[in-house]
Amino acid sequence: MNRNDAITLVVSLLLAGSVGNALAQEDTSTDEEGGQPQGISETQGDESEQDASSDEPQADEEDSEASSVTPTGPGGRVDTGPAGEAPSGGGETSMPQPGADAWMESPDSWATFNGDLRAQKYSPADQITPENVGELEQAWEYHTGDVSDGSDDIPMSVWSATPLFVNDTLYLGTPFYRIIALDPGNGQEKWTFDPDARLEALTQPMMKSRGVAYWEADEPQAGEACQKIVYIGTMDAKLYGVDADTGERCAAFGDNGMLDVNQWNTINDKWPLSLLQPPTVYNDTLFLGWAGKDWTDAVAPPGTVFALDARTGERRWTFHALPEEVVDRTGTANVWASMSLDPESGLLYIPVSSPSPNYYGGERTEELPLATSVTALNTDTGEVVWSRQLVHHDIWDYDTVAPPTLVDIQKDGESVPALVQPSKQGFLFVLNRQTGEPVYPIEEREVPASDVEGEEAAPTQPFVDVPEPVIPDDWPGISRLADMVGLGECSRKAKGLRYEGRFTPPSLEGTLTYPPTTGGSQWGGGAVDPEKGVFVINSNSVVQIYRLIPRDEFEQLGQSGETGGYYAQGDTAYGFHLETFLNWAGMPCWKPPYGTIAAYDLNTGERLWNEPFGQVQKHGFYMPESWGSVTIGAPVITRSGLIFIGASMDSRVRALDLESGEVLWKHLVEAPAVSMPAVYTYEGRQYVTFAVGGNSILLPKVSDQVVSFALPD
Amino acid sequence: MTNKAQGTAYGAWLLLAISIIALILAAVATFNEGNGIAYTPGTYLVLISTALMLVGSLLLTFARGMPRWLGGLIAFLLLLDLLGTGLAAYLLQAEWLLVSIGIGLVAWLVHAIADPATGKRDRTMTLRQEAAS
Repeated sequence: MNRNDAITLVVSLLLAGSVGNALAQEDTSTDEEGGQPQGISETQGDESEQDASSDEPQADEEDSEASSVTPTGPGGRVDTGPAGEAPSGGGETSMPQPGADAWMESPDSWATFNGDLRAQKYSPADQITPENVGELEQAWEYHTGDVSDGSDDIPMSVWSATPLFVNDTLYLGTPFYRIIALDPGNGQEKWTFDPDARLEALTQPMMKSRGVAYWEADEPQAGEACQKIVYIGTMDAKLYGVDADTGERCAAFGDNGMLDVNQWNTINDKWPLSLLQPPTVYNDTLFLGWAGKDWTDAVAPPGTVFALDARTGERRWTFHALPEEVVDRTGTANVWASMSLDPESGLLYIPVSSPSPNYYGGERTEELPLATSVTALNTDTGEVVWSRQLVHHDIWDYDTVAPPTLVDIQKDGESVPALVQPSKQGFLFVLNRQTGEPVYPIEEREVPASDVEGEEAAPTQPFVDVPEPVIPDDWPGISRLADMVGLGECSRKAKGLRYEGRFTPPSLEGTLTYPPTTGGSQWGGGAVDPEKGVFVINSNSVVQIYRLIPRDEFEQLGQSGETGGYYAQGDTAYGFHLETFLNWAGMPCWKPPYGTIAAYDLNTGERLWNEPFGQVQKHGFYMPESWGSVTIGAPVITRSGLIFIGASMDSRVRALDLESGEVLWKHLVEAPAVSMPAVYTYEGRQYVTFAVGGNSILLPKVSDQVVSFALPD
Repeated sequence: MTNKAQGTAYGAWLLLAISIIALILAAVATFNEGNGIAYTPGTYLVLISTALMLVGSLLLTFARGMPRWLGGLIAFLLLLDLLGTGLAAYLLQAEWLLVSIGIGLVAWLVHAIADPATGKRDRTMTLRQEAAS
């Protein structure tokens, strides 16, 4: 027994329940799903959309727009209208042009959610280096005031916004859906915009936001308003557009600066299309997915992606991920995470989530090839260029959850235009981003059959061996410590569960599921150094128990936090019970580490290093570093060879050496920084800025802190 | 423990001083927002344990007339308190508290080895021991 073991034993006895309770909640209620029919896009003529100002969902109204529906790709549809036509009243032509917008490509800026359209999360800044990062100090701090611990009428806040630095301003979107513009050098407030949004848990159980998006005209007209616009979406499906210099509403956008996206929620409109993820902006167009409500319904809004005119909000096309003929039995397969886009080819890459109901597919047994896929769309038309399904007949809620990272890699002496698609399953799919063909092999392997009446699990699933998955192939095994404290409870429990490796289907007796819906990897995805070809990603190692409950036995009992408890799954044959595998004391029954961060050489597929990351903190006590921490958020990489990341339970932000994974610097913040930082250079000084919001999945600790770090003057 | 009826209990005095410092540090850890551990059960725990440590060291320092077995019991409980608080401080990553507890352990050793014994010996036991010798 080494020192850590000894400490572990004593602490675990003292803190029975601590880690476990945290992990018990750690499931993916981040699953911001919702959803429409498969692989279809439509293009629209959209005069009617600008008067979509009603607060009430226009759910069952006939979509009155003149549109045509075109099947596209494997089962998809596109509603098309006058895509590419000049927007009415916009002033300038908004025909999509190849190539990135100039304002987005500045090496000093951090202009999008993922840093750039390619979701590389990479900054060419090199002022802060591994040698001097130890001197990093807090440059300024700001509090938005938009925070709730859930103790009053407003649900608890979950804030995962990436601050945007562009237009010499730092823009933030809050979980109360305000936009705040700050001076990037000192954090002084420039202006704020408050849409007076409904602060109700209409779909997600918490007030959530991942921030704002920014657009700028190619040639902004001086003195004219709304040549630069900042957008924020709300949980009740409103998209606001305000002038980036003043914070005033843009009158030409939607109805006086507000576009009601729920006007397009016309099928199975059980809840609003929550706009928690800011849109992707490219060539005067906004690409917009949405989030919904997981696990409650069988039939739900089917997944769509909208392409909107950046100036007016007019809809150019709508992509549908599900075929029309199945939407009376299923839904979702929506895009709730961020997207990436190749500005050279004009292809939009969307991570499509799983269809509803999430854990029983007996009433949606036909192939839904765009569900749980990574799909490339033509930005002009919304048509599917290629698609690759990452889970067949998904009954584990393995949403494709993160944007693929686009990067050119060197393989066999050739430059390959690639993408890296992280997954909840733990696989890193490396594909040719022009064709969708694997760069490293993807093998269809036989997987266990379902023993539940009515279910038809897919006979094979795609597996990836290179790069090595972010989590082990097999579950970590019983933690002796937890088993000892539980007087053998963990072992006894495991014996009664079904486990036959990855993709063991949910069962009546309970299936030990590894990885479960928490992942593996989560919505943050990874970061890449495009010059070195090194990809970095944080991941979780969690074990959960999936149990189906026959409808006549199902009772709607309680739910624990966002991610555990009983879920009806509509009126399908089975309800569902989700449980994290814990002993009576709340300790995880599986072996640590619970979270790691790893680096991969994409040119060879080799994993360079893989280290426990962060520390579990419960009741104030920090668990051993070798345990790691479940993480929510994502890393960014700088040219100087640093990784900056918050994400961990222990409310610390860190800088790691890209070469070794060694922690070179860390700093305490007010709550877990469940976001990705922005790295930018302003007036010659490099800043690293974190939005510190917290997430109850990790810890019941919330904050409204924005904190920026820089080297001393 | 050495039985020295006369002299100053340096160890007990040092332990008392350390207990006061540890209580202050625990209070700072508990109520100083922004330190990552404030208002958590862990800090409340060390706040209570350092308060008990203070009570114990006060007794050792000033209640010199207590029965010897009681003095020994208090010293033993203080050792447990020091060890438990030290572990908690380590896991809370409260470095200054950990340092003070380290010094407290030294003080405890000084008390155990060098301080004059507390109070009255158990008369019956003393007679038996004398008879045995």
